[in-house]
Amino acid sequence: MESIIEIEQQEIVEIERMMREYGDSLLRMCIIYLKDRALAEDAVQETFIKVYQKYYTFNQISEEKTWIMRIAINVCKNYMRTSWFKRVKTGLDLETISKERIDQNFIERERQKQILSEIAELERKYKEVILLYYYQEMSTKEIASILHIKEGTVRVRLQRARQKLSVQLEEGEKL
Amino acid sequence: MKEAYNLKKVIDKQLKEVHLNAQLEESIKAKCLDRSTQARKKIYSVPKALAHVALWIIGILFVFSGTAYAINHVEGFSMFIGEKVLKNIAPHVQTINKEDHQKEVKMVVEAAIADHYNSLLVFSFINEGEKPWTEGVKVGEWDDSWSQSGKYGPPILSEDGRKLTYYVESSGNEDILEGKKFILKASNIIQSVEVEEEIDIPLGDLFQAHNTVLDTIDYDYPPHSKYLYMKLDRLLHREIGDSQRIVLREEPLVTFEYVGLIQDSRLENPMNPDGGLTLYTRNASDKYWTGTSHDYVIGTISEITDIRTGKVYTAHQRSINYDMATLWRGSLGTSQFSEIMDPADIPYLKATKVTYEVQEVLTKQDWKVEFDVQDTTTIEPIQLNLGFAANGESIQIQQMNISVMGITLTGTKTGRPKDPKKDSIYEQIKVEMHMQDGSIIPFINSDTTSSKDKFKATCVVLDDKHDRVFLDIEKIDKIFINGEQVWSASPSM
Repeated sequence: MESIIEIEQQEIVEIERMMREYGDSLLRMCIIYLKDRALAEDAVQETFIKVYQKYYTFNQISEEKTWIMRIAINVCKNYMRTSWFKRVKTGLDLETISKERIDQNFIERERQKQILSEIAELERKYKEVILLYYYQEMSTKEIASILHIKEGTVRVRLQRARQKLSVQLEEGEKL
Repeated sequence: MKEAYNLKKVIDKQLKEVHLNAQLEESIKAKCLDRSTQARKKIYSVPKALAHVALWIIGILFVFSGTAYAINHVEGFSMFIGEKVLKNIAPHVQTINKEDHQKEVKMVVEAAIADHYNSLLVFSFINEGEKPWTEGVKVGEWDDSWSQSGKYGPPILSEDGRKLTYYVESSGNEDILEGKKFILKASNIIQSVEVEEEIDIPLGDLFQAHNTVLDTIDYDYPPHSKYLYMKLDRLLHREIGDSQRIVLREEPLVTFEYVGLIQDSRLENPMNPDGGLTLYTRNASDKYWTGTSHDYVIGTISEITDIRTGKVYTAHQRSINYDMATLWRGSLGTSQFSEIMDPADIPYLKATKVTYEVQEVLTKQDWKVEFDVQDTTTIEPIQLNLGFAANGESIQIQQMNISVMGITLTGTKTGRPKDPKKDSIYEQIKVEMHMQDGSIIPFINSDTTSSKDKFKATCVVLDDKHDRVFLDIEKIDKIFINGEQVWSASPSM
């Protein structure tokens, strides 16, 4: 039988792998979701702690990414319920999030920033389906499983979310 | 025609310098290693009615033995917390009395106790139909405005089968502070029915496959060591291959997963109060189950037989364990046979009966009630300026709220723990109240939440059995934090 220390070490190695694999995209998604980098970092931290805590309950039948995204979405939802969040949050400020100068056409850069702001300002139920579908490239079935809603509801929300945006979103590699 | 953009590319480009940095990664790893202690602590905030709680799980344990359902035929809170305790807190109980009447069943939100951050609520369902309810009746599904932090107790059915009463505890809920309306929705009244089926499954192979004997090295740790709990936790939850899983029922899927033997009779764990042979079943549903869904089935092994002698053993306790607060998938059934303590007996045993709990819908209907809960704290929030630092973290306690439910400390924090093996800064806050009769009562930090630079610590008082004690705040003389007096009932303070 493995010792507790050995099990802990194995799980930490797994957490390191998951952080490498999903950490950046999770952080970026949480920034758009919560509109705040510091809160997003806290949310990602809490997500991985929950992943560690529940690692041995993870059933391989479920996709690892789906499982992690489900945790992350729930953590973000919790954050949005707090009065601290409601008092502080106004809008997505990419200038403070992204200090680095981006070498691209100014108008195009402003346009892209506007897209992210539009998504960040969507109602939560629309924002989460857009981020999961177009950014995390998950299927409507996987999103339904993450949000505990019907697949048809996911499609309806995606459709309504798209109508609210000023641009059209391209399908990613999943299709 | 709208312009088309690839959102993945846009986000990755606009946020291309945003990465999970090394400092954050180290912090995550440090907190992971320190996790089990904190997880264990959270159960202490569960009230008396929920005493049968798995020690490391925030979920609720339903025990079929019958001992869990001690019915007291007194209205409202006294049903759950007893007349004696209610006497202390009676002035703080607010009558809500809001209802929604549908199809001969009325949902009534009866009463609440609330302070700045915590609330206790009693609500009930009144059956005005022809047929009274019987034991096992419950509400099918919940939808409410505080479920992330709410804890629900097993319902109590009145003797005449006409009233089903629930108790909910919500800790750290800032809705109260914001004066928001509470919304409670419920769907369907259902009835749990037990169905027994005969099976014939030898235990020897499953036992050999997983070698689930708690090894003696763990006995070196004290009974409440986090390592021992982690070990048991893993025995309960670890995943196994499909080839080692025995399907008991296809739709919905119920499997017999493994055979464990806990030889340490000192354990006070409700999963294994006496140790012995424990059989684990699982419903691996994809659903996020709150324990009340009407189309959910879980089975527990209820009987085993010794093939050498024909002796039949009935499980002395069967339970279903699920976690409504986090993301535990499906639920686990455990069946305990405390007479079996020797692993040498197991190859001669076979499981001969499984009992399923299935749900029948009695009333298909939705109910919804909106209501206000007032903060009835009589002691004004106390402003403090107390600083503590340890292990790379420092906190500044800025406010203390005292209510019948306990004490809530809030303030700011900086830094991250350097050594994950050491107690967190919150563990080192020792709150004590000195009563007017001279007695000293310590608080236990039951729950701490924090954001990037703020924290909130909830401190409660527990009795010898780890049940929640409500404070008789009129009789508090002084309150101390780490030896420093921070509040006094006398006006000079």
